[in-house]
Amino acid sequence: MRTSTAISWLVVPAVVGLLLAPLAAFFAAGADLSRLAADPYLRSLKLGSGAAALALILGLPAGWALAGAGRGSRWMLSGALAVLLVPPYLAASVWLIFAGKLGLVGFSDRALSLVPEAMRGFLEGWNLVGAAAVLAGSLWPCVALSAAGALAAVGREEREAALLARGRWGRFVGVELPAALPAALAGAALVFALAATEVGATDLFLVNAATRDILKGFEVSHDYSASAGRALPLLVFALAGGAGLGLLLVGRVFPQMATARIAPAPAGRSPQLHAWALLAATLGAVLAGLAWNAGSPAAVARAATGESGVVLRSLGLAAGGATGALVLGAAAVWAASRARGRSGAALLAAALALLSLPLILPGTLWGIGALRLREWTGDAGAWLFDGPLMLVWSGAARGAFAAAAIIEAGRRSTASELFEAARLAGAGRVDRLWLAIRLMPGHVAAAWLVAGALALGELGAAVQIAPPGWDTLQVRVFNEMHNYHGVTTAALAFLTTAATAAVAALVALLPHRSDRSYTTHGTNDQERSRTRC
Amino acid sequence: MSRGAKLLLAIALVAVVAGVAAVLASHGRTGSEKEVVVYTSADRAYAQPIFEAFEQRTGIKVLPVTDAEASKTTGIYNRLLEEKGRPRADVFWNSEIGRTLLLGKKGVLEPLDPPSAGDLPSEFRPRNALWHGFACRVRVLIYNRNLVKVEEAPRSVMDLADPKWKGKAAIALPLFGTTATHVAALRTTMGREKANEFLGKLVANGVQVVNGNGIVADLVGSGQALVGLTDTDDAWDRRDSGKPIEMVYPDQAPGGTGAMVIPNTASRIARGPHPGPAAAFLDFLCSPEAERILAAPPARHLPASPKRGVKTAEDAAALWQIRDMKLDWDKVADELDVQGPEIEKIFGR
Repeated sequence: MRTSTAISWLVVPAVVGLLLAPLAAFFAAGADLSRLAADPYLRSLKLGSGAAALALILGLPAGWALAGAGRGSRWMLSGALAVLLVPPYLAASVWLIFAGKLGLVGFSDRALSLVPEAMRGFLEGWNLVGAAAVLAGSLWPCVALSAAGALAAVGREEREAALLARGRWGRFVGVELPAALPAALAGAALVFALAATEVGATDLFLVNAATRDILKGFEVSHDYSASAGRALPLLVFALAGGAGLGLLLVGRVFPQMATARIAPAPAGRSPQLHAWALLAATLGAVLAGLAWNAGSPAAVARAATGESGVVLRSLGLAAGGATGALVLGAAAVWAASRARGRSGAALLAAALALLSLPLILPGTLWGIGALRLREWTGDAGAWLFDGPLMLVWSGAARGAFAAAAIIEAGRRSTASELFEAARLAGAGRVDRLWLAIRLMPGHVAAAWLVAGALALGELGAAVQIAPPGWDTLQVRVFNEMHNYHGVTTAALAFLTTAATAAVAALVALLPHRSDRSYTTHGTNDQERSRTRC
Repeated sequence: MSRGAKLLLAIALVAVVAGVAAVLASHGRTGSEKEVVVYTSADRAYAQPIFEAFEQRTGIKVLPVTDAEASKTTGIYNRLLEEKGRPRADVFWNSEIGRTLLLGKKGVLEPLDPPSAGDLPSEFRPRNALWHGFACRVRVLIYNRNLVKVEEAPRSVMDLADPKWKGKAAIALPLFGTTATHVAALRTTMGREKANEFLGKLVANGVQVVNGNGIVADLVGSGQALVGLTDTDDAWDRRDSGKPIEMVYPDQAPGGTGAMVIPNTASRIARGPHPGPAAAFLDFLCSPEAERILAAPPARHLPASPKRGVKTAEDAAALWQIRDMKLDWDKVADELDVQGPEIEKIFGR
């Protein structure tokens, strides 16, 4: 076996093992299947299906707008990323504000008796329909971004030829829709997976889906094997979903999407209007709802200064988690890429599939598993399990998949000949690593920022493992949101959402800065490497 | 150095500084005599002024661990049980009493008799000194005064099973919090069978089962439910925010079983990491000063004894004016420990 392949087979399992150790501990305790009930899974299925169907309807037209090349599309992209990165339970809380007892509908109802009796259940959001709607509103960018990527991969020439030969409708039916639909369906499948495993929003809506059943079951009894029994179907489901994602990312489609030059043809007006309206409803409304409840900018400022400890702490922990995710995710991708041939591709697919588990599975499982590890390691593990490093670890686990996928996209968009040339010129491993970083700074920064946003939004594990004095923004907001949506809670939630939106804006702007061409010296070939997210 | 490299360097620097700060802060805390870890099920809005007053007086930093409204007390109770071998907490401030008694029975608590607890009533000062009760809440019936006439309002907890409230009554899921303790109390006073029969009637009557007592008050305030069973602090909170809620202390008629009074309870965790600060915090928590903070609006907790000189809020009834349920708390705790599966079955959760 070549040394590089051997290293790959050491590094990848080590990275995956490190990030997944708590999940392994969660299931290693043994699963008591007697506590497994069908009803919660049926609700999860309904929730996932409803959210996926609605997200497909909402997200597919938006894909055309996002595939455009103008400045507007870039801002749309930033908005769509922000929607995706904001924890869904925050959107759920806003639904409750706008469509619920605490806000406009409740107020109107009390003042004018506007809401018919039969509609109350829906408008109050205390049901599955409300949860599915909110989750679709949070996850539609999965569909839109997939569709946009596929549309961008079609290529300018092909689109122009279709336009000349068959007109706009012919181009839409014959070229664009066949390209976008499979990717959009893949995005919808991801929506299904994320909605079916979401825990925060379902808990706020009191939908006793599988994830909430596991959380409540554990809170009542702290029975590990019962929790594992309840979660076993989720594991099977997540493994299947992760495998699908891994194969998709190492297959042919994703590299084409990742390296595509966005078609310069602007999207029609209708998709753009649709996309802006969608962003207004799913991002603007969330920000507005939280700002409304916070009361005034002064209240937000007071919360930011009065609760500066939790704000700074959360940002610091998210930064630590993002760095861990970036380093470990990049290490896994780098190591897998060094293994040659089919085994390398299989290793990369497996690594990505496994790294996706902490993202697909509810964080609750990771957190409960970490508690299990704490119990097993006793005093020896106190340095890790009794301190904030646990939160950094959980953030890294949650962000690693996104970081790895973005780095992999960057790696694929970078001409491999450059590394070969550098190697032949005598550059060492460190030099080549530095070269890789220089070739794709946009991807590296995007990976760090996206992983940071995911780490900042991590809730399920943090609720279980946050040590005394280290509660995060998410834990604080989520715990108090059940009680009442007070001014400070709303202000903190607003700050979280605004920070996530700012991160998304940065991510969307980064590729623009990093577009650049490189010329390999010593050859006549000009290798152009365009780096895009 | 290119712009990208600078960006990366800056990111790495921030991350390293954040990580080092986090680790240092974590290690600096272990065993410090300048902090106390308090696990509490009290609402943060009520607990925070107590923490701040204590910190101001003693210079000891309070590190609170709270829990979600839905699982409060139960979640913290299980966490404390799990951490029994290697405790992280110094103090358990329970906003009720049931789980405190259970923790005492399971060896999680250790005795402590703070000087400030000397004038608490004897029923709130057990001989084993494992806990002390103060600042009480009461389980109350509430109704929407815009939709329910005062003469039609329920007067007994049992009235919630009356068909006239079919689909119009709300309670919190009795697996958690004070509602769980209330059900345990009913099971000790009525007997398990009768209590289960009552709960079954509630379910058959379409009672709305929600995530917490605060939500019960929300539902009644918004008219989604007409009547409900909740805690006084939640009812006061919604009244203060303009909701048309009225409270009824249940079962006050002569010969009635009385309303369930729930004291806050304070206990020291056995082998907690900061015993000195824990004693100081418990002394403060049991003091009239802390009770005064909790007795003020919006919480309006009821002072445990008239001897302490703490005024009951003007618009609330004093504790000694309310007919309270006579309970054997030990039996209530035992019941609380075992009732879960039956309750889950009755409520289909």
